[in-house]
Amino acid sequence: MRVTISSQYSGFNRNINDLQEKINIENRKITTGKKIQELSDAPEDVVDIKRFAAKIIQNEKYLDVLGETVIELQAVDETLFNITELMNQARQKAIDASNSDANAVIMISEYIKGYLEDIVKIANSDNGGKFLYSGTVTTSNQITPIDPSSQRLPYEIVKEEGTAENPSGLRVVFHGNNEDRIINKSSSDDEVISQKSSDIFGENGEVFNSLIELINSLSYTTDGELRNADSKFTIQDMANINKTQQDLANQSKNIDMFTSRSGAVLNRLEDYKFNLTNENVRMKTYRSYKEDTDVAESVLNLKREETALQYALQVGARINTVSLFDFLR
Amino acid sequence: MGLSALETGKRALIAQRFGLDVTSNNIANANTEGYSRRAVSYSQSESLYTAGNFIGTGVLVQKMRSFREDFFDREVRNTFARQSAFLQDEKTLERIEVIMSEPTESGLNDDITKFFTIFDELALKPESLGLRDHALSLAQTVVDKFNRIGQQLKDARQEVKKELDDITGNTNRLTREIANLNLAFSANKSLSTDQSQTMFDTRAIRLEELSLNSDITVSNNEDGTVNVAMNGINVVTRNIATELEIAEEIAIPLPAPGQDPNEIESETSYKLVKRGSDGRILNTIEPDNGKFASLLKNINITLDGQDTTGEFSVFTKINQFAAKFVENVNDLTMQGYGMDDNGETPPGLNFFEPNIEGVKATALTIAINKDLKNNPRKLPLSDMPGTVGNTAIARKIARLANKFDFIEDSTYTEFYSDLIGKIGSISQEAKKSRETTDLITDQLSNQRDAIMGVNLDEEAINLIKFQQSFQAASRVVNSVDEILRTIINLGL
Repeated sequence: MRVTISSQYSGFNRNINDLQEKINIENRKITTGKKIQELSDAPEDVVDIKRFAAKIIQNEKYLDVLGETVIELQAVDETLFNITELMNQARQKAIDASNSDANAVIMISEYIKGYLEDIVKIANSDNGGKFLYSGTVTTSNQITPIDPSSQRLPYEIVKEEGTAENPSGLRVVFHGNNEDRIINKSSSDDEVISQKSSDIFGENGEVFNSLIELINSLSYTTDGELRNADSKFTIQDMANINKTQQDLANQSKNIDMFTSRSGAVLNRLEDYKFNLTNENVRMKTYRSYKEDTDVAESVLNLKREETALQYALQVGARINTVSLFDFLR
Repeated sequence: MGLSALETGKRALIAQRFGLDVTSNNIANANTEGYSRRAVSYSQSESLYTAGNFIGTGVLVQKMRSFREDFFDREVRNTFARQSAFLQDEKTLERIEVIMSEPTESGLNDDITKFFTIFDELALKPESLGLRDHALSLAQTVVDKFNRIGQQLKDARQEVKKELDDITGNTNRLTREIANLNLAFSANKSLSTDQSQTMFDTRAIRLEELSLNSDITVSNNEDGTVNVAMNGINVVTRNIATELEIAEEIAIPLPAPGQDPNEIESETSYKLVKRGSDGRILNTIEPDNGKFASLLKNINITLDGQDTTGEFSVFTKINQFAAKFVENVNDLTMQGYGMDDNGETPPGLNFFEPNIEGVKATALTIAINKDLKNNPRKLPLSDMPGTVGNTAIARKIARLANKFDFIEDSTYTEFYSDLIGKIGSISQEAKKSRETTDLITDQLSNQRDAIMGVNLDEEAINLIKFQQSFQAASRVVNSVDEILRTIINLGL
């Protein structure tokens, strides 16, 4: 085949361009750390990478949410423990009362009232501005107090006219609901993270009612009269105190059970967090395998292409350096 | 001998000088694109019967031939047409790749995922106004990205239209030039051989330039002229060139009830046509290759936001994506209650606009509902009135991230990754096909060049050959001159 000027130079030109392009590609791979620079470099890998990226973003958000939920559940755990502690103390006081004189009983009654206030205060606890025990009514502005209630809180002790059944007229009003608060803990599973007020404090606020009954039994006679220093416990009074004390014991056990349940949720979420973290590590490793530059490979490729370019330029420089014209005189 | 030898020498001088001229022209045009080398062929002049013998009378230039071959010209044109179509595809698809900002970590899909996942956090903290505001800000990021992609795809389409106009102008100029060259061929029968070879070369170059725009069929006429057809439609017939143009077809859909007619986006498609003298469209040309084929495909399908052909259209896919995104989110927020909604029925708030019945959102028109934009309290996350902590709607929105029938029986991530995967694979295919045709073009060009290209060593040899022959012929004339001078001096 005849070799012409044009074919020599066009071939040389093309080879130099190809080599420079390859060097440029390797350079970009090394400097950006990514082996896929354009969609067309490896479309099938880009598809995988995008799917993994979406999953990783989702998992990271689940991890955030689970992390915050764990903190909230720890707060729940702590408050439940405090509530049972207070209830146990109230129960102990009730037992003490049955062996005390009237003055001491009045004093104990004041204690019980204090416990009631403390438990209500704890029941109104919030985590990051969100009430823990009022279902889906989680903020103050969702609560509209109606007389005799005056506070924008889920639980409030109100005092009404005393009756034969409730001579102290004390009552705990609940402004929340018993709806579940739920989170998505993964792409397919959710988890109830709230404790129902009805579960913890009873369908009709039995925990509070027991304490109020105790206050009534200790502060008032069976006739509904305010107890004084001369008042003696009647058999009925003792029976009432015993029953209330027994109720408190049962309710305390009930709260313990829900504390355990909350603890179980906490553990489950911790497990989920652990699994999600592992899954993310796996996915990030796979994504990195797909998209990150193998630096050693790229550096070797770069070296190879640079050497090829160097030789191509050297050989190219010799094209037609000598022709027959050089020998004509 | 005597005077006849002088004549023989003169003929030889003329013939060798012609050879020198042709060789020097070859050397001068060694790097001229499309130049086909010339070669001179000689023949003996008629011999004379003298003294009982036939004696030769020297040399004549028989003809000057060019080494151009129709076969290679045709193959090169066909390859050029394929190569330029792939090159044009590659260029357009590279632009689309840039528009999609992939593969990066800030593509549309990543922003949508971040938007959906913020609702997982909102399910935990629906009371947080800051978080609600952040969700709106992420929604704005998604909207901005859709809008930007939509606008850039629209701009890309306009660029393609400009290129189509340029290519049409270029095609018309080339067909006119070819027709003019045809005219010169048919009108000037007395063109010198060299002139006609130059015109052949020029016409071959114009035909090759034309083949970059479209695949063409060239047929030779007896008078040396050629007819050129595109997709079976004659665009040059001897010395008559047909003007081509890009015709627009506009389809305006009927407005949906309540839709502002000014907001309706008409569907414009383009085609390459040949018009009659009365302005009517005589033919529609649909090239299979060349820039026209690529540009028409890209403007009418790939970059058409309302394509109905069912073929792969990036803009239509993005618009479908925007419409489904709006539909899926709005379907949920319509059932939800904001922080201050206490009525029995939900306020029916759309997260995104447009919210006109029967009007689908597009990448260009998608926006956040104005009522919601600056009022995060209205963000409907609950499915019960007056209960902020109920986050059923928030959780459902977050679950959209994994909804298996979000769009076309797939999740949005599958749809989007398939979309960019498809862009990548057709771009890769265009690149590989272009590289293959580059190789074929190089091979063909080299083969053609091996026949019609100039080899300087070869020309140097010819130069020496003709120079030596010229010197020898001069010597003959000189010798005859000396002989004649001797004879003339004999009589003195």
